[in-house]
Amino acid sequence: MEWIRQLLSYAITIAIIIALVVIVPRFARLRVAQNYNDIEHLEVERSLNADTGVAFASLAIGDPIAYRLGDQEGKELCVGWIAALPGDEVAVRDKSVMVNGKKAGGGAVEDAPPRAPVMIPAGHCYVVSSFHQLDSVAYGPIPAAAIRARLSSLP
Amino acid sequence: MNPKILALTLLAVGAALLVTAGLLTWSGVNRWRAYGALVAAQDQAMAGNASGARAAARNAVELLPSEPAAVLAAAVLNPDNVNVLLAASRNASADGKDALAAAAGLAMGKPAEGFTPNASDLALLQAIAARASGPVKLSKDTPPHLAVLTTWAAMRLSAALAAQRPTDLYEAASALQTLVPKHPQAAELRLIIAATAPDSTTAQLIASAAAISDIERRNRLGQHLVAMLPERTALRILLPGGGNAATGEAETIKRLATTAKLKPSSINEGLIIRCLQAGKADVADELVAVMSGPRQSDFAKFGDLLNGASFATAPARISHWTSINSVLAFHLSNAAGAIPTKKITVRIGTWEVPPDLLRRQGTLMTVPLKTVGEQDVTVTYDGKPVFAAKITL
Repeated sequence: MEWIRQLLSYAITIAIIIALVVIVPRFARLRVAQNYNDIEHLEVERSLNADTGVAFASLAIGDPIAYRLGDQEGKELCVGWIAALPGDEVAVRDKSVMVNGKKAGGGAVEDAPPRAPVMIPAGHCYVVSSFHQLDSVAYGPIPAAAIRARLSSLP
Repeated sequence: MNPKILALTLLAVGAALLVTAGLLTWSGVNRWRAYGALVAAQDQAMAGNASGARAAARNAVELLPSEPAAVLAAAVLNPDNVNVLLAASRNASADGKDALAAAAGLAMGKPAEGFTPNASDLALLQAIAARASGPVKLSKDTPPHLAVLTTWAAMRLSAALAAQRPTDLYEAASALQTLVPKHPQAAELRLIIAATAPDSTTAQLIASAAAISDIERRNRLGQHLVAMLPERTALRILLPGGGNAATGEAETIKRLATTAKLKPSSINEGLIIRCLQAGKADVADELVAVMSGPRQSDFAKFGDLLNGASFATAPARISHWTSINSVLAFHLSNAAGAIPTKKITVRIGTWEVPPDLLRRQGTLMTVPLKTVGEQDVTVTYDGKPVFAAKITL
């Protein structure tokens, strides 16, 4: 009988360990916007001291970030810096991006007539870069889910 | 305790835990598969492939039917699906409930029963339901969702255009342009902004107008804008003939080119194409000549096509000809696509086709045939031979 009791105690211990291993992750909700650990080309960002675990809520205006505009070549990994966060108002005046009435970074917005202020929607940020080819001026506000990492500086 | 009973009890508990662990493991696997499908959906959405994004999101919903992120991405927003959103809302976090309330409001075209959207979404949904073109006060602390804001901007644009309210039109077009820069009618939005902005320049107006290559659409929008803002005389360049129907497109091109030459940075591809469409290849050459060096290189592709010639001097050529129902048809143009404006002569055998029988529709030429069969056909443009061959008509 002793060997049966021993066997059962092993079985129960193993079952409890397995249960804990699969139960604990369930307490973390599915956070697509915040899980950056399976990103391809991650090695590229290592040299930029990429913080791939940054939460959207902790990002601030002026932070350089890496983001993804899709899976096509050239859009897999883009870099820019955050000009506006949800609730900020973005306008274009004198060929410059204005945030809450003040001039933001980024290069000149050529051939652009002045635009009235617009509020940045929830879960999005306005990202600018030097030539506005793959940033919010060209593609609109970037969703939090597209952000891959906060960088220490821009290349 | 009887050792047998204890052993059986422990066996039952162990088995139950193993089954539970198995179910949870399977659920975890599905969760990660759903996560993968959602990332794929996001990539498709960012690439502008809405149907691909929805298909990937449906895969996620099959794996996790009550996950709000998946339900939202897959939802078709119509009143029939509000119950699906409501079911997902019960399982959602605070942010998720907000997003689901916004989606339900869009599905209903007004705030939906059973959902409480945030203050900004609520204000916008009420404005959408009322089709009001006026501004809406939004809360910085609870910004609206992108889909609600975009839908409201589109509705406001339409309402402001109908009500002829330039300030509302300017703000709505600005919002759409900022939120959706790749909008299918982005060129029209830019023109509306340039026309209605209090401090836009005439050069910006010209550049925006020239970027719309479809003449009919540009003219239609131009008429709306001129009617709305009659005091803004610069807008008259948007009309065919600069507001004078008798002068026509050629005169408009002349005026546009004269103004554009004063500010070369306002010249863009659209203006060049408009010149070529109007048969003004010489004006296109003049415009390219005043552009700065780096910008001229943008037109290198044209230069390559023209083998170094200018728009106006590129040799004309004809497309493959066709003959049907006693009519010979071919296109006559140069490599830049310029429409021929000079004298064309067609000789079929010994018969020179009288000019009044030669029909021109842009670059398309049609010639009625007196006889069919094998004939020597020659075509000249501006006195220079373009085509000469024996063909079977």
